[in-house]
Amino acid sequence: MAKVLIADDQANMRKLVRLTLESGRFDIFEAPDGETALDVATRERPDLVFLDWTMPGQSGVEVCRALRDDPGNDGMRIVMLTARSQPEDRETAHEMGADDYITKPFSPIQLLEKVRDVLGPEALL
Amino acid sequence: MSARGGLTTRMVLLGAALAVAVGLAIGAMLLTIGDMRHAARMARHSEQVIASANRAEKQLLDLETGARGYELTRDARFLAPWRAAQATLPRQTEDLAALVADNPAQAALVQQIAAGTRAYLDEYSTPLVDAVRARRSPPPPTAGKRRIDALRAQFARFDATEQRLADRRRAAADRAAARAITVGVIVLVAGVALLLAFAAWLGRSVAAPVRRVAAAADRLAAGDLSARVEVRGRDELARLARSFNGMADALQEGRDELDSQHHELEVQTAELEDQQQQLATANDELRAQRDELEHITASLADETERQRLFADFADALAIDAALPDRAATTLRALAGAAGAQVGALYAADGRADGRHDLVGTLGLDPASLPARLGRDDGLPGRAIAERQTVAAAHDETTLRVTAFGRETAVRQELHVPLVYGDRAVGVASLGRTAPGTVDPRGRELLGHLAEMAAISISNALATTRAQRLAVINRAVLDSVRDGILMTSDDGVVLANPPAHRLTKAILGVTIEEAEPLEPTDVAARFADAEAFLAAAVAMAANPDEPRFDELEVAESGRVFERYSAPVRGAGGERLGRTTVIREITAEREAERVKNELMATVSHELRTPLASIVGFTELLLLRDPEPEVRRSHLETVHAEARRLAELIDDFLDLQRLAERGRLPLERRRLDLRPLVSEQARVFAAQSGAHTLDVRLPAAALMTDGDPSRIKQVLANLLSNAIKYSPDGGEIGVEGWARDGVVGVAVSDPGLGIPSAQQPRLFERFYRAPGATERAIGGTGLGLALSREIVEAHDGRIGFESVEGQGSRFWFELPSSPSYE
Repeated sequence: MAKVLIADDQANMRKLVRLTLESGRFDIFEAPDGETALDVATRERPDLVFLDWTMPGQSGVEVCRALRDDPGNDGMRIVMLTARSQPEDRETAHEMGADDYITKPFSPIQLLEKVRDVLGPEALL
Repeated sequence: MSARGGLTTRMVLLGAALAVAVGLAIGAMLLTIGDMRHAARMARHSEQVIASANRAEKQLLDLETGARGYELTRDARFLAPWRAAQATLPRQTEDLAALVADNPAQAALVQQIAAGTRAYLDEYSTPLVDAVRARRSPPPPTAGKRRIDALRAQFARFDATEQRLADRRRAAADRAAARAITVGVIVLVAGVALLLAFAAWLGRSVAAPVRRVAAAADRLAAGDLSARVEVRGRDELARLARSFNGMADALQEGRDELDSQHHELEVQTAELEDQQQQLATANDELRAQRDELEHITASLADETERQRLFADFADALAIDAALPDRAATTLRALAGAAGAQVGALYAADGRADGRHDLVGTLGLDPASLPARLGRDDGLPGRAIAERQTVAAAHDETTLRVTAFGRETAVRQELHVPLVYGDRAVGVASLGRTAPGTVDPRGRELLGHLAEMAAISISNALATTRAQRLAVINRAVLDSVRDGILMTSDDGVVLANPPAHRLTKAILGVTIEEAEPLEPTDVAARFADAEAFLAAAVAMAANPDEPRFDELEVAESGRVFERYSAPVRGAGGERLGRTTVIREITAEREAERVKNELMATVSHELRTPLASIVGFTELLLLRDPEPEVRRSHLETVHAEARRLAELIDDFLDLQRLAERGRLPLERRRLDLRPLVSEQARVFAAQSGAHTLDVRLPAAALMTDGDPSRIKQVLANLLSNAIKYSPDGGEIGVEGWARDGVVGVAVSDPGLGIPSAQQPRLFERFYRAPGATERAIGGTGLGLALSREIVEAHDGRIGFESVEGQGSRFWFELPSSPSYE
């Protein structure tokens, strides 16, 4: 079972992502801020991390950079899930090591498609 | 000439002989006179000797009588003549001896007398006086008498001898005098005779021949050319006669010749008279020509005078380019030509209304004249409208003006339009105080001067307009905020004050210092040096292309907009480039803030929207259990409400931006219920925070818009919760004092760094770190709150210490309570 980490300060968002992925077979972890997200990631080594940008403490891109700097996270897929929609934000995220970028608001189907693209179709089975 | 036979020689010889004869005679006479004088002197000498002898004898007697008197009387008075005689007698005898020193006999006698006298004195007279004085017995008087008698006898002998000598000498003197007279008479007679003889000779040998020559000369002078003089002898007179005869011969000959010449002359005179006649005729012709020439010369002088007048006028106009000076010059010249004493000049400034302004006066007070003239304003207006000189004559009383400080009658007025092209640029109104009209020549002159004046005034007006325009252009250039700079191949042609300021801000040096710099010298100052250099290259390559770019100064972060375009002259030639520089730092900053805001707004809108979209899709996709569905719907609803609030904030901001002030729906209300309600709402939202609300028992009445006041309260409460992420107690209090009611919200949160405090109420301002800390908000909350409070004529403020929390408060004017 693939491990998925959801890092977002908004409980509604974490709930929405979790509900969306409920249909698949995932071990789902949640973190309400950047520090927690890093702790969980180091402990669980998730296959996929959804990162909000604007969070208390470390921002999503900072967490992204920290995850990428940890060699233990090799193969980890990071998807930014954020309301920031400027093109330069996408560039920044890419530079920081994000694999993909989803702009809020998003459709649950779109999210699942991203998961499939990133982890492969078998992840959703 | 023979000296012997010469008349002059003879006259000299005769004169010399005469002089010798007279000299000899006078010499003899002088000798005789000398004898006579000697004899007389000798006689006088003898008399002197006798007188001296007599004086000596008298003194001797004085001795005798003095001494004897003294003896008899013993009276000292008798001693006075005695003493005098005793003192002088020896000298007297010496004098006498000196006088007769040339006569030995007499001299011897004098010696005897002197010796006798001394003896008498020493042996008798002195002893006598001494004896008498000493009252001794005197010597016997006989001795004295004897001696005196002897002495007196000697004196008598001496006198007699001397008297004889004197008589003899006097006789000799008389004889000498008689001889002298005789000699003198003889000499006189002989001299006169000789002189008469000489005169007679002169008359015979000189005067007569001269008289003859003179008579002949008289005849000659009378016209008798045959007069001749007889020649006698060989002397000078003969020569004179011969010369005279020669002259007469020559005269005779000359007259003969003259006679023939005279005839010739008569013939010539006749010819000359004929010629003179012809000359007179020619002369008349010449006079006529001269008159004509004089006439032409006079006209030429007149014309020259006119040309000079024009030239002077042109010069005077050229000297002063200013309109008032040209107006004054014009008035003087026109008044001079018209014989006018007063005048006024009006000129049109080319305005649409065609009115003319008073630009100069002559002899008149400008204040007494209308400042402007139109085409309908009387005679000058007519002159302007018709472009013709208008003249009017007045009798003595009709037109009076105040000129030269007194009232003056104007007998004739002339209004001369100054026509340039087809336009009257002005009109000169001239007044003559003398009656009469301007003659045609004067009018013509006036016309010419008016033409010149029209050109000059027109130029001055154009210059004035151009100067005014230049001033306006300058003022406009100086007043704009943008830096405007014109450069040509010669460097900077024009730079307004902002250009100087901005150049300094951009390049760090003055325009003058920047001129020699190359783009490569300054490129390093810009954040994007490459773009700057590329622009410089492009500008050099395409000088005719306008360019537009932005320059950000790396050091200051200030941003400038630069527009540069070629400047072309009227003929299309390139004059240079204009560069307009404008600082857009503030605009860029505002833009940046706005972009950030847009991003924030977008972000803030998207966040609730994400929940709404996501949960509704889930509901649609999965059709969950009713409880789950309800939970989803509640989430959607809450997020939708949040979205609506954000949109309201944003719309408020837009309204503020457009109208400057929020519209209020005010009514009288109590703040306490509003505060309580909002506190309850926010208390429910956060589990981590507790709210401590303290409100007074009395109503907090104010006139306000409840929804707006609620908005302020919500904002303050929301901030208090957001900026105290660790939870804690949020204090809410209300109060009334001094005509105001107030509410404060305090939190134990992050606080606000003092550097940020002044900016807190700025629109779009968000505390740094707010986004990083995921503190939601539009950056409009406090700005909107301030707008709302100030719209209520209230105040809003805060106190905060970084790390220790903040206390925000607002006060509104209290509304009088009716209770």
